[in-house]
Amino acid sequence: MSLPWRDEVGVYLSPRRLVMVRLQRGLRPRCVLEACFPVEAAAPNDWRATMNVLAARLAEPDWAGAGLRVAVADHWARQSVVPAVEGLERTGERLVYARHWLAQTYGEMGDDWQLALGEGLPSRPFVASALPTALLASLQEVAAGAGVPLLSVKPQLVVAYDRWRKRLPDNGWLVTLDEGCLSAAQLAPHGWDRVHTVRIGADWSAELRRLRTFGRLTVGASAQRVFVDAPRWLRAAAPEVFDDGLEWLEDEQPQRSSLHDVVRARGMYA
Amino acid sequence: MRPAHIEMDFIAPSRKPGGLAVLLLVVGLAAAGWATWDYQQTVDQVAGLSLRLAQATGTRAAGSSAARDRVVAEAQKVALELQTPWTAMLDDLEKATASTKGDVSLLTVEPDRVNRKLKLTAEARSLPAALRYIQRLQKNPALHDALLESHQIRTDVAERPVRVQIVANWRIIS
Repeated sequence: MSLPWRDEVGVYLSPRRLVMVRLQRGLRPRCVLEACFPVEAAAPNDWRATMNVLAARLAEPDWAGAGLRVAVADHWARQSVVPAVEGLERTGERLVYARHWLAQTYGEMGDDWQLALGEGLPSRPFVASALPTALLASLQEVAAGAGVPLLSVKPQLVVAYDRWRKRLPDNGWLVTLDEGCLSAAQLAPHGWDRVHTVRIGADWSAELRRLRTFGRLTVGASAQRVFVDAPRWLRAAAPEVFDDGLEWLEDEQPQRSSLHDVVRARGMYA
Repeated sequence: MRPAHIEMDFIAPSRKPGGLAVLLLVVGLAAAGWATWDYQQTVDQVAGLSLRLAQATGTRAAGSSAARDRVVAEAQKVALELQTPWTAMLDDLEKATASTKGDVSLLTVEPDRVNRKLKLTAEARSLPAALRYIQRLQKNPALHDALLESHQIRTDVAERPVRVQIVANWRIIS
């Protein structure tokens, strides 16, 4: 039986950095530890280096004994909004259809990818995300090796949306930005209408200008607001872009959820 | 208006209840058990009190019935006592005895209130004197039907007195 108030460690897994926060739970949860560890990855797609750092940190007393909640960088995730199809009510049928839909965007997806679906009404489009099966298995191994439960694994875009949803309107764009990757979800009353993930290079200015064009992606070209969740140093790198109609999402106050606190910490450290 | 919440996770929610859930379940079951026990105790207490109340009420009813009987009996006794014309009877007896000029002595008077009879024991110098006494009683207004029930002549005494048992009815004089 798990302890009623077991601490939680929120983790942001990305190719270049590992962000960790430790939340002491209870009636008033509070962040008791936060850190950002650099990762020397051989390639952006290589998640094993980050996983090794995580395993090493979880072996330290500071991070031991807490349940894990993990936000996986959008670099390693595949996401799409799957249109509603009449009659697709069972989860199994929706998974098969979502896999087929993702394959149209990302190419054939076999057992190497594991899917998760956003819950919703059968008559509504739903969000589908995919993560490498090996990455998820490795996470399970790391957690088991540290003797802690793996409580949650979500893509960063989903985590950021959950964190900022109360500040967002039901139209516009939510963008998450990290070194080498940009993801954007078009907001709608039922959740998301569209989602895009693009690799970005070292030319941050060019990529940030591309980011600004997300505001004009919508039909009718009405000026939709663009909300950006990004590390602080990216804003400092190109302040003119962020001053040109983009709305910066940041919160320095510690959060009462480990994953929400990871979003805050990622913004400060990553 | 805010966009809708999206619930998505690669880790399926655990079917195994957490520690807090188990704790709440235990507390809930304990509370339910205590409430059931307390309810049963209350029901038993109410049943016990009802039984005691019924017993107390029955005892009181029985007791009051016996007491009532006693009161009624006493009342009847008093009523009979009140209905007994003692003054008139004693007055008659006194006059009748006085009229014998010492030939008859009245020894005992035993009233039978239920049958409204008076049993007299008297001693006379002779049997004729006793009979005259009875005749005298028969003329009294309070007593009537005075009869000689038995008589006994005492031979151990020189005067040979006669002891007589007389029974007479009395009547209520309004």
